Amino acid sequence: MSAVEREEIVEGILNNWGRTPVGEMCVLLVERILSIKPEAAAALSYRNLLDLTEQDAVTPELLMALNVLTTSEYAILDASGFFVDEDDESHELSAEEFEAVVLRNFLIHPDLGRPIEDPASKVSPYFSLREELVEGGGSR
Amino acid sequence: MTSEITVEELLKLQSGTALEAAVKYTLAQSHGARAEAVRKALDFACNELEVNKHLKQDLSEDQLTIEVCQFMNGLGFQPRHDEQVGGHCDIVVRGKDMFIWLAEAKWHDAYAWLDKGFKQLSDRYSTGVDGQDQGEVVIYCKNSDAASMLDRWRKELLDRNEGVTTSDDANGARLVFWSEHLHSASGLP
Repeated sequence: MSAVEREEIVEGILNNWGRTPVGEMCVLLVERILSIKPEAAAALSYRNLLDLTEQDAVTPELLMALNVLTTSEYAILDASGFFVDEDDESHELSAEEFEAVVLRNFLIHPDLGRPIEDPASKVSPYFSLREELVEGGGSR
Repeated sequence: MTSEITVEELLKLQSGTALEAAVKYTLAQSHGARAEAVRKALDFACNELEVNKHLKQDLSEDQLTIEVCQFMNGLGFQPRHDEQVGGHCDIVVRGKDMFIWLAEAKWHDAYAWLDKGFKQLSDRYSTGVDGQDQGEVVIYCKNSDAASMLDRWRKELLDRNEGVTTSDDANGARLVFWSEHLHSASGLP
């Protein structure tokens, strides 16, 4: 991602959200996420984002800023989820599987094909830098 | 059990608050989930107006709508007031994968005025394609009996528009009803 594109995103965020706590958190996240290695930015859990922003707990500002950075025209992230089974194996979920967990607390084990009890307690969301923003990726 | 923050923890922390709608919008993977999250955020925005009705009742349609947009904006949604989408639509929320949700906001003084809002939304502003096929007429109302007004509007809507069906809110909200029709341009529901 070029410095100009980064500047445009930050400017767009500040035009829409200003120097509010949400706007400031968005800018902080953009600066930090775009400065880490693409491999690291490909799977950012909430814990990773707390570390990046040097916070101890999930705050409303972080949640609101992630909403901006995942859904607005200045989005740089995509949201997904992974499931950790009883053998501590991690499984990346499809969009449909992840949504069923969020909305209905429903998941079929991706390998074993049996329903998982209370999957919402075993699935964690994560965020990836949008492919087109990774250096060498397609145009936006 | 993972040491990462789980979906359960995340949703439990925000349960029953406007932030829950914001989180669900963030994590949404389909247009249906996006629309549901936007509707929920709008509910909270409108409730803010209701709670402060003594301070809001003399504001204009535009002023009230801007307050709704500001509330949603503060949650990380990106609503636009008066954006061009086949005309000047009162609230436009754009999201991922070409998602567009629209609302027309009207002070209630005549049912023809509400019907105008419905027609603007359904025929003029919306494309009716997947992800751009949902919206709301938001009614600002000073009537003493809003439920009766809404019942009457539901009848008027059906009388004034062919091919429209209505239903109660699935979550039991009493001051909301939903309508469905085939979109004139897309031919889709």
